[in-house]
Amino acid sequence: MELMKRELERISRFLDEKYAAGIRLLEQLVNVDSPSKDKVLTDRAGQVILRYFDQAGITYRLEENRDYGDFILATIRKGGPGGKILLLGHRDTVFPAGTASVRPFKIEGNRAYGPGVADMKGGLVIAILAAQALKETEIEMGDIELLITADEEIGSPSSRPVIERRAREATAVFNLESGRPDGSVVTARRGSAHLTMQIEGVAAHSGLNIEEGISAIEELSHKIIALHRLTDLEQGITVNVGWIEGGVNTNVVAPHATGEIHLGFWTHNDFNQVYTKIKSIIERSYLPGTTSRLEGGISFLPMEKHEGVKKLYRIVQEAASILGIELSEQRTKGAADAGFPASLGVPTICGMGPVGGHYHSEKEYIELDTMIPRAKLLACSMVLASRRLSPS
Amino acid sequence: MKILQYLHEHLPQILQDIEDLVKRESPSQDKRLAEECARFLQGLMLERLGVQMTAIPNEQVGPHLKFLFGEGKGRVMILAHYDTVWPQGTLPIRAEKDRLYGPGVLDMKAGIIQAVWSLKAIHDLHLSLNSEILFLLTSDEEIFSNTSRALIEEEAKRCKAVFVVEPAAAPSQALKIARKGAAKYVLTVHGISSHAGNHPDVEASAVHEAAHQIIRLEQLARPDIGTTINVGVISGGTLSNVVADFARLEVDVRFKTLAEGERVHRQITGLKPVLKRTRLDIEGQINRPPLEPTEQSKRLFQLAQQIAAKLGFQLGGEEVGGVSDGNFTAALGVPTLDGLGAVGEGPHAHHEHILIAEVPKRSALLAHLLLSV
Repeated sequence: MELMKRELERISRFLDEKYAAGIRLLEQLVNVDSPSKDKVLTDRAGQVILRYFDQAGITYRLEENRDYGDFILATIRKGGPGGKILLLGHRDTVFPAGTASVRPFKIEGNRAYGPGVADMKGGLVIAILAAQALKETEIEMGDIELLITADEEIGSPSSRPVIERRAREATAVFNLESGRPDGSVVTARRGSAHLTMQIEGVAAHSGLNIEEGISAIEELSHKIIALHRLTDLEQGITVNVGWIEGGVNTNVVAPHATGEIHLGFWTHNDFNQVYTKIKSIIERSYLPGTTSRLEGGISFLPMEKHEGVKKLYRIVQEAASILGIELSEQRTKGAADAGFPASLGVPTICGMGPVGGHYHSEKEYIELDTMIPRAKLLACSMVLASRRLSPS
Repeated sequence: MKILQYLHEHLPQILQDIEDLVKRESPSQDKRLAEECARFLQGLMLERLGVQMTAIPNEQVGPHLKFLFGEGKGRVMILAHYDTVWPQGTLPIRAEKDRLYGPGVLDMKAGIIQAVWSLKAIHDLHLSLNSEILFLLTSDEEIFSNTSRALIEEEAKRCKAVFVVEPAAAPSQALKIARKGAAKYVLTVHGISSHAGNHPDVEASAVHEAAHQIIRLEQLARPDIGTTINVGVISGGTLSNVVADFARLEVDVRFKTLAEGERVHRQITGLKPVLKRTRLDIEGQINRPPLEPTEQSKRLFQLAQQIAAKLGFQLGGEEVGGVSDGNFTAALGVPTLDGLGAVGEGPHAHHEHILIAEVPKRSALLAHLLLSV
């Protein structure tokens, strides 16, 4: 089914009037610091969103999270016909408590600044506005669900199963990370893995009985060199041993050493291949008599541009052309939650938030004149996707 | 033998003296405790030998103590330290039928008491010495002898032999006739950090460079001639997804000859980075020269063996990897014999103890040695 002209006009009119309310919501959200590991603060930021839902008449429920901020699940029943659309976002940021009192939300010219404004509180506002627009206008489509998590910046340790559960029931997933600085949406993202190696040797006194010792530090060194050789920049496979520690005292042969490894990759295949090679490096004893083990695994799955992603991007392109917006796509080295639904085969697209940049830094910003246009783009894409794509 | 018999008869009192000295705990870094232990030692020397020790104070650790005993041509040194590695209250004192356990009992408070009673036996049995004895007790041997090294060397230059009452080798119970020298280095590696998620530049990683340097360092060793290199401690980097810009290595080197120590020193301080965009800072030096056997020290050892035979036991000589203050005196060319203290096992370990049955024999051995030089 096509997006009819009058439906487009209704959506546009509604959103055009929502700019001020959207900025107000964004300012409130940005000014509540929400570092991933602080449940009290991330839940407080969640309360800002829930109050807006209450005002807008959007029903929601909370799924309790013991370690991190609670999951917010809002549902807008449209009754169909059409598949369910999932809007995905996180309200935690990388900034510690107190950041917003030092540099609160501010507007200068066309840009808004503040901790997490692009990554990704701006995106949350756009998701909320787009959902609200579709709720308030007479549009036939499938149900809409918003899932807002609170631990993405530390690798989504508690969110992955929840995201996957909701994604399995969706026809399409829109992840609201910020649009790239050049306006692109994101159709592929790297995955990442965090691994730890623990190495055991045999202690001995370096003066009295060094020949009885087997150095875990020496073993670690051989492994570090072998691991870094696995980096293949052309394939986009990166291996980095970022942190190491080992030994007891200068005059003791080290009985134990440990290292933390970060892995970046574009495809599941690449991960499997590199992981196998890493495992064999860890399990091999360069120094006979050492034993080692590998812990950890994938944190972010890669978002591979499969058929479902391509289809969804074509729909977003169509929506953009209807709205008269220029659109491009990009693949991004940074990993994010979009990899989880994409890996289940669900049509997914990322970077649907407002255009912004300098993520994770003091200079983080969004372009204000992209707020409402991106909200319109999201809303129209949601309608088309719900009508055109069959549930996976 | 009169001396041995005398010492056997006085064994209960000797053991009590050992226990009393061990009870006055004296970890090297605790100046107050060291001073209390020093006061005890001064009282003990006065009571047992009628001598007033000279205390040489210093700012960091307990005072160094010394006294002269007897008369004769030339001077012989008994070298000891009263500091231990044990923080107060970490190790209990415990007596079993044939052993005494306690903090520093082996390394080396029993050795000190054995030496005191060697002198007491000589005095009480009216035996005459050929040389004057200088008894030097330092307070920072376990922490590299920073404040005592100059004093030890200055005094040793005026002596014709040095007897170090560190414990005998274990489990052979042999004297220590040679010791390795030791050096310590710290390598700091500087790299360039970058975000591993985006474009990790592992060719500028301090962790990567550290790994290369560790392999290099291990290659400098010559274990066939006793030159060993141990990278004992390593740390580097911050988060797994950030390329490390910093790493640190601690290196311990042991060697049998000064030439080897100097070779390794030249090579370590001359190390260059493998990865072009990293930088190395290297600090460190030889802390103790090796105790290399000489003609004269070998003759002293043979003398000790003959005395032991007469006392009814076999005495071996061993080369060991650990260091002591004897390394300093030997490097000056003064004939040095080490390991003349107590017999036992577990220095610096939780099972540290001495064998009670060996106390009179080893004390007698030292007494006869002092009478013979």
